[in-house]
Amino acid sequence: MSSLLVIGVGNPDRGDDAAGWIAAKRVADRCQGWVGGGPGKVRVCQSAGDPASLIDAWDGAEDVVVIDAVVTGGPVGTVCVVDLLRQPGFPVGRQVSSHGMGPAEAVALARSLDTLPASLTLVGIEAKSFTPGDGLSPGVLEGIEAALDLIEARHRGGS
Amino acid sequence: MHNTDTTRSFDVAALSRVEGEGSLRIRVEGNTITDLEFSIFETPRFYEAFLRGRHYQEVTDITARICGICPVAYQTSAANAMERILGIDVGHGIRDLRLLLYLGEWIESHALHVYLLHAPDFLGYPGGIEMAADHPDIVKRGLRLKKLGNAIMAAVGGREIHPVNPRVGGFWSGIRPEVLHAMRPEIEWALDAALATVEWTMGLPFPELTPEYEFVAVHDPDDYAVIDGRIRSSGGLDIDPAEWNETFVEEQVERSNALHARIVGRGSYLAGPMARFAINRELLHPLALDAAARAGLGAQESNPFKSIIIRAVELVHATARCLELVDGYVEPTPSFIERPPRAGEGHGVSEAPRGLLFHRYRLDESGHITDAQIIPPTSQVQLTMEEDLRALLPGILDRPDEEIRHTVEQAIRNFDPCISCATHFLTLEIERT
Repeated sequence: MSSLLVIGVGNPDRGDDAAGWIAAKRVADRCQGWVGGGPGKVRVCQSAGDPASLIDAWDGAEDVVVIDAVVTGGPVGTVCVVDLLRQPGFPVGRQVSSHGMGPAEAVALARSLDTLPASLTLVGIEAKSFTPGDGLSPGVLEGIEAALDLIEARHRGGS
Repeated sequence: MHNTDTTRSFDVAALSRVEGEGSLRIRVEGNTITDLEFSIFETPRFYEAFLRGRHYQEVTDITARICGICPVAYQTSAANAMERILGIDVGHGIRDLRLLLYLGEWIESHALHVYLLHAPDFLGYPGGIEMAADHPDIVKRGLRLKKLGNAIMAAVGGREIHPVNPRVGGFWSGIRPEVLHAMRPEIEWALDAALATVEWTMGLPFPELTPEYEFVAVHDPDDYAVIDGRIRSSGGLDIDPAEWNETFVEEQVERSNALHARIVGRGSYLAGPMARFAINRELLHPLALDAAARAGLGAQESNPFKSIIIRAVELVHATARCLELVDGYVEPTPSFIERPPRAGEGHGVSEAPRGLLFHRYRLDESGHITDAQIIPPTSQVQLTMEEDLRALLPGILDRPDEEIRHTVEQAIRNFDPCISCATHFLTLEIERT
């Protein structure tokens, strides 16, 4: 089973944009109990999400999961999974993620620099509000838990 | 793009590679610019109101959240103001550690702006991603520089985003010398990389523009000012931060959520790397001063497009000073100075990567904030940004719209605008009749 790096992306003070950070913290709390879990097997970090920081964060890692708030128009809290290396239509420069320049741009930059990990997956949590100072919208916390279950199942399955 | 027989206009969904959100509307009749408005329309965040009623010791944690790019600047200006009220002199050891942390932020911010945000403009790329495809080694150099800045912030500040270790009076936890010494090899590499950055940027093609600026920057007689000092200008100002509100005025502008600042009785001014260079050039580290001379920079540089060279020179200064600070480091004990709370008013300044950052606070006798005033650099230079564009546009109006748009965006990025600090993103509209 390969080691896993989980990167929570977002801004803890900007409403639902905190989802990635909260999810990363929850992974850190939960992964000790996972098969293959523990400090050497699952690493967790938080990132503001700009491409340079993300490329820094996944430097040397092979299996990377990025958790971020996304806006696709779906119900709040819905979880989506995107293979960032193989999703042919993933739009660079669009606000799919909650950041103007985020995971998609980081993938494009890392591809130019030949610094992509072997596996790079986005777990997106559908968000609604990014108002500074606000808490999470109803449904986002449930989305975070669903994202955690999904990441754990993926890690247990070794895929 | 929309064209009619009499009117030509186009909208650009967003100006990329700026931190924040705003818009620029330009109206042209014939060859005359009849209207030019740079607007910031993000919802104001009311940080100043939010701070009222909070204890003074919370100020570094709260103000760090204002900006993801320059949290240390907010923490430092705030701490300076509070320490003035409380009568705290943190001493040389804490000052040096504070400077090291702040220079880490300069390295992180300048490397990002020079390599990924601004350089693509000069080389004709839509952005850093496209530039990286043709110049991977250059972009990798920039990213490695940025990573060092982040590493310094994490080592001293506790983490690179919204550092948690700084506090009023110093640092919550001391930093062991071996933590800093471990970074020395990478700082040595960074100094060479910064010198190479100056060589690279000086060879870029620069549009002609030489406005007459009044430069305003923090001044420290003993060092290239970063963490504290008096406020000086090329027009003769030399004031204590406490004299800010008699010297500068902020105006509400209907189109913008950010206040516009100007010098009382005079007008707009320029803060940022060019202003620091104009006011404090001789205080640069000798290696940075030499690099500036080799780059052809004189005592003052007025072409705002050459701000990219000055940021590179400041990278040399920052990395050279970091080496000195690491080599001379003695862990300050205690790591912070504490004084009982008292009522009063305090003013604090420091040089954020993009310019002078002013804070003012009033405390009651229990140490709770009764009033707060925060003036970020981007709101200080908004008028100057508009004036630069007014000066630039007449010379390029005969060019195709796409070329005009490219040059205008490049000119705005000269300021490295952190619009999210001022109150996120720019919509550009040019209308010709």
